[in-house]
Amino acid sequence: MADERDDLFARLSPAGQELAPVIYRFLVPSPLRDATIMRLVESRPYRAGGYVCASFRKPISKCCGQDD
Amino acid sequence: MTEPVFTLFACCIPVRGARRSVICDLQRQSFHFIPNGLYEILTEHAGESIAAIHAAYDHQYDEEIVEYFAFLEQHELGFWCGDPGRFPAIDLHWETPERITNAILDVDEHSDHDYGKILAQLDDLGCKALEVRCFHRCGVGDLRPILEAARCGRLRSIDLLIGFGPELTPEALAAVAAEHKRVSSIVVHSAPESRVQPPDPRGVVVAYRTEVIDSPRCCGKIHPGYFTVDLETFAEGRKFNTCLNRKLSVDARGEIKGCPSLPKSYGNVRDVPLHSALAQRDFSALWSINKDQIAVCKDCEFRYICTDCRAYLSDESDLYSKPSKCNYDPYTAEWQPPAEERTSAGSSTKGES
Amino acid sequence: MKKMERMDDKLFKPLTAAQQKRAGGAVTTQTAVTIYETNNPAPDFQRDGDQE
Repeated sequence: MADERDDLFARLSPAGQELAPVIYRFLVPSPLRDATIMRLVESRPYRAGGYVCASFRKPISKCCGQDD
Repeated sequence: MTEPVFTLFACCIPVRGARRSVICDLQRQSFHFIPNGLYEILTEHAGESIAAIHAAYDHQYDEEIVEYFAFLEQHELGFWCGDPGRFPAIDLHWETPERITNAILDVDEHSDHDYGKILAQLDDLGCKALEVRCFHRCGVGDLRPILEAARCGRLRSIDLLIGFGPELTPEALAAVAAEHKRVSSIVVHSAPESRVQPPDPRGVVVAYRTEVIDSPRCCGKIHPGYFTVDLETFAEGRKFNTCLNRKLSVDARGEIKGCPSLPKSYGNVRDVPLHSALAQRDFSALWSINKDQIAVCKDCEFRYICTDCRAYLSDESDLYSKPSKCNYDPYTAEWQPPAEERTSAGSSTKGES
Repeated sequence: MKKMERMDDKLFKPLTAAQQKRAGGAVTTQTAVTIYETNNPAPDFQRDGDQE
């Protein structure tokens, strides 16, 4: 695990290595681990402790049939 | 180190259906079908190592289980980790400060709405999304008073559903969308041909459809084109009705309703302030009917991403019956022939006729 | 029915793009997205996931 982390850390700047998120330590070595880390970063707002969801995406009415 | 365990990303949430399940990816706004066996593994065996899961099924399905986890990894739905407690589940508690989040304003050739008054009252209620449905042939001039009334205030999006008129060229509608930044989409019904214009720089799409939408009776259609896979809808849908919760409508005659297709009016907007209608005891009675309470829907894997309909029901005597315009059978996971064909054969509805 | 079905069964094929296309061609009703944290208005993203 430590070796794997070192591989990943080697790609970070010295400052980045100091600041690397703790979660990296808990990921299991896998060919897809980099993708996992990118997804964790990408979905960061969906893992926060509390939200205000101000967007509105659902259809307000449903008059249209399904497209051909 | 302890045995690694599989953890779904917090935004990827499995939902079980009668015949199959889905994983809703609330961040990427997509969903993936999975077998109910995998749902069982992800829920009943969450936090267990793969060796423990294989053993739990007496090694009868080792190959399938390996395939399942490969699928989840390949679609970036989860990952292996040593300490799943570091990745807690998302909080799906839903609340909103707005008394009304969305509204429908119906217009026909006989409507006599005071748009300024209606829009100002919706603004007072915190409404953030408005759909204007014009059932008649429109010109750009018909839209102006509505959009001018919405120029200020807190409204954040306006969807326009308007009847085709020769003035409604793509260029004219693109100009409308460019001038009124709250316009989120424009659908032109009763058009001579179907076509969809490329999105403008803000992502606004102008679509022309040949189908005729001439009354609220056209509403209530349920199909995947209306599925909404996002955090807000999913969280709201677990507790509230995904269509009617925090919705207010003004029909073409000015009657204030929860939905224009529902028969009950809470007064005419000419005489009754919207907040007074909203304060009437039963205005919000249907808001709390969620999909876990509705027959058939409660067994459907799409129940938290599908917007409901309480106006057109498969059994008019049962407020908790399935929407009549839904043609999905969660027990076979098959889409049946269009509901309209069945309802025209005699099935009743509770909605206004 | 077998308890653990294979993923290549037609039941688990994704819907086609056309089936999922938003009705009417409109992309979606879309207000601005402003999801933000209320527990901590200035989250420290560098310590992502650190509960220590």
